[in-house]
Amino acid sequence: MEEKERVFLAKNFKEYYEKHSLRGIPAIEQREFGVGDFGKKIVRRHMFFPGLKELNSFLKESVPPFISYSAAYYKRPSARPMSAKGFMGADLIYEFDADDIKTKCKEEHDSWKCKNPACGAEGKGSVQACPKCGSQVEVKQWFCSECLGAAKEQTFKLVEVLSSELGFEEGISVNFSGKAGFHVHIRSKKAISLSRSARNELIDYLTLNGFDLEAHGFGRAESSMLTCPVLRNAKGIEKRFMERLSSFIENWSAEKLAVHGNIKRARSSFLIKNRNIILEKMKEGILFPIPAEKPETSKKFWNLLIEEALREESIALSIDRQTSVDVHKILRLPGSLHGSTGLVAREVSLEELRAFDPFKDAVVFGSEPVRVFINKAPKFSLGGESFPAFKQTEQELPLNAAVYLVGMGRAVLR
Amino acid sequence: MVLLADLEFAQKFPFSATGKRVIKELGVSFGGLGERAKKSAAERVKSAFRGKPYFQANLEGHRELLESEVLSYPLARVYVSVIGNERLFTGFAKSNEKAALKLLLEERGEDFKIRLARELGVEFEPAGGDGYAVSVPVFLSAGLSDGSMKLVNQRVEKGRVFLDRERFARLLSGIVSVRILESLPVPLEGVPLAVKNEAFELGSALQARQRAVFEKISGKVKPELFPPCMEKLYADLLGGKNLSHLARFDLATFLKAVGMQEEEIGKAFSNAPNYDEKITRYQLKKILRGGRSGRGYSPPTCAKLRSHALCIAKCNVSHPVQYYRQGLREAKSPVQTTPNQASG
Repeated sequence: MEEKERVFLAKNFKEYYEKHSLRGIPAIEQREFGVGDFGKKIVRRHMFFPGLKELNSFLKESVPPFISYSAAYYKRPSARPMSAKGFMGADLIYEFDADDIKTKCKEEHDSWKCKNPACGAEGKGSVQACPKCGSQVEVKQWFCSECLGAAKEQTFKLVEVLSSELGFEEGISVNFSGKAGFHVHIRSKKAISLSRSARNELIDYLTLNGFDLEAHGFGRAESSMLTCPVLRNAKGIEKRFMERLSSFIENWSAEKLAVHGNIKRARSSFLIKNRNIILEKMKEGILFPIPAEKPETSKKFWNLLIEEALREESIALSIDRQTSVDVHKILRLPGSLHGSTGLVAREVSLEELRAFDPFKDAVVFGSEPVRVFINKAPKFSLGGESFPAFKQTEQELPLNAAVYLVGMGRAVLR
Repeated sequence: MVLLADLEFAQKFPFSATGKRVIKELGVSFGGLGERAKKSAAERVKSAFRGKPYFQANLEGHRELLESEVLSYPLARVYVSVIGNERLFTGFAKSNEKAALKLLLEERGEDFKIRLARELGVEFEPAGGDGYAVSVPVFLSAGLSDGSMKLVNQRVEKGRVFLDRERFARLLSGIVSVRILESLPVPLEGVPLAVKNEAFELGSALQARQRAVFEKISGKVKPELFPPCMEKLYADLLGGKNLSHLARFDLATFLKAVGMQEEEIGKAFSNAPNYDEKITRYQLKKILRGGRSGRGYSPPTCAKLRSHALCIAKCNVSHPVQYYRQGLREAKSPVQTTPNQASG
């Protein structure tokens, strides 16, 4: 990013911080802060603020493009190394990033370009390596309501599991990251004092890592009968899972069952006709063998359906393991602006979350006209206005859109 | 006079509240312990070293024998604390965990479980059938992360984990292990010199035996300088224990990184219970000479080991190879205690 663009963003961020002071940061004097610059989200850590006054002064004077704070509480947040800080516990944090969740819209708005100058291949979506020459690629990501919608769904599911299964109903808050994700923050005493191994176990629970079918009552009974958990007694993951499995039998067509279960169409038709018996047996803990088939075929059929149920994204959540287990991680400070978008990283209540549209509800800048030259940007909406895809064109855009495109590196000032 | 029933419970679970109370009531000082108690204490330490359970069965009604057994427990804790080896602490905790588990699994009723839970302060509720319910944080406090005792493999609802008798027994013994480990080393003021000497002798004998076994196999690599995690895995492997695939991978890459030859590593793995020469050779080749670089996979960092639940001590390093190399340096030039020595 060039100086002109830097100054443009800094000026606008400064105006924002001068008009809006951050509030409501619990135990601010026990947190480690870190700031970042364009191109590098964390350049300086181990910062300490004794109170909101000092934090807000800092924001107005230094106008950092990125500012984060620790999930952890320390006796001496600025001490070094980490072990000298006097760790006292940490909030439980889970992050959902639209980056990490596979959605169809990425095929439309993400693009890649081969880094090999001799090759120069490019395309839509994202790939791991250039399909033409195998070199590394540069991926340009973009975000829209669809991919953010997927992150929202995961957030809801997580909150559901945390409260109704794991018993962490208190102290939950959800924060929009300012760009493409949501952080779920649990701040109860119970959560803060969890050990590292406990946090590991929790994330394994949420992502189904180490899930053992046999430990849950799936197994071989006698002859060709497979057992499964009895729905009546099933709790937690088991319950979600058995409900999912039952729904396949209840809702799928004979065609779908045949394909997914790798059985002949005639067999699956028979199963559909006798749905009720099969569902009854399932409730009793038995996976009905397919008549006139070898035991192996029946077993394979049920195992395929079970695998299918496991893949369901309401069963295993797509949470990034690394960041969720690291008790020393720092995360976007709620109330601060995100340097790549100009959007505010704000708390979103669970009631608001359903209808929350960051492209409307996290916009802080107004619509004063600004002239920019746009290299390449997919279509997007911001602040209630829709913008088409732009390529190599000069435009007069509202301030909030200008900040967004400049921050995302897609445009420069004119 | 201590109640016989309490004495019997204390012998089974010397770390319980009853155990502690009985030990106090018996009022014997370290200097006044008989040969039987000392012998049992030594056996407890040897079992801890091997990670095996220790328990003398069939002593019901024999007051004197029970008393020696009960008193051997605090003596063993002192021995272990004097020897001061982190791996031994873990072994001691595990040894007691296994012994407790066996007793809890074998009991015909629920009395031991219920009494032990109450004495450990583990809150639980009966939960229909012959089940128990504990809160999620209580469940997690046992620090269990293996297979059927992982949280992901439990029935969980509204913040409670529902456990059958067997899993409740595993939970309780897991908590026993955590509590014992937290309590080590014990403070050593007032422990007579004679007792400390007994401990030193015991420790030397155990380490000498281990070193002899290691040396035969290890060549120029020094297993006594391994960090506790690798020391345990290596000893377990040589002792014929089954290691998980992850553990084998982590150990093999570590051994290569500290200079063990592929052939020697293969020989070490020949002690595994399901050893197949062809498969082992193939897998080692892949692990040690495959991967993207063609030079094998790199050994795990401490963070990785923690996420594999293989880290067993606080070592102040971030990589097991770092620990080993530091040990090699210190062995070459013994550390002079200088006041300004930077910590690791």
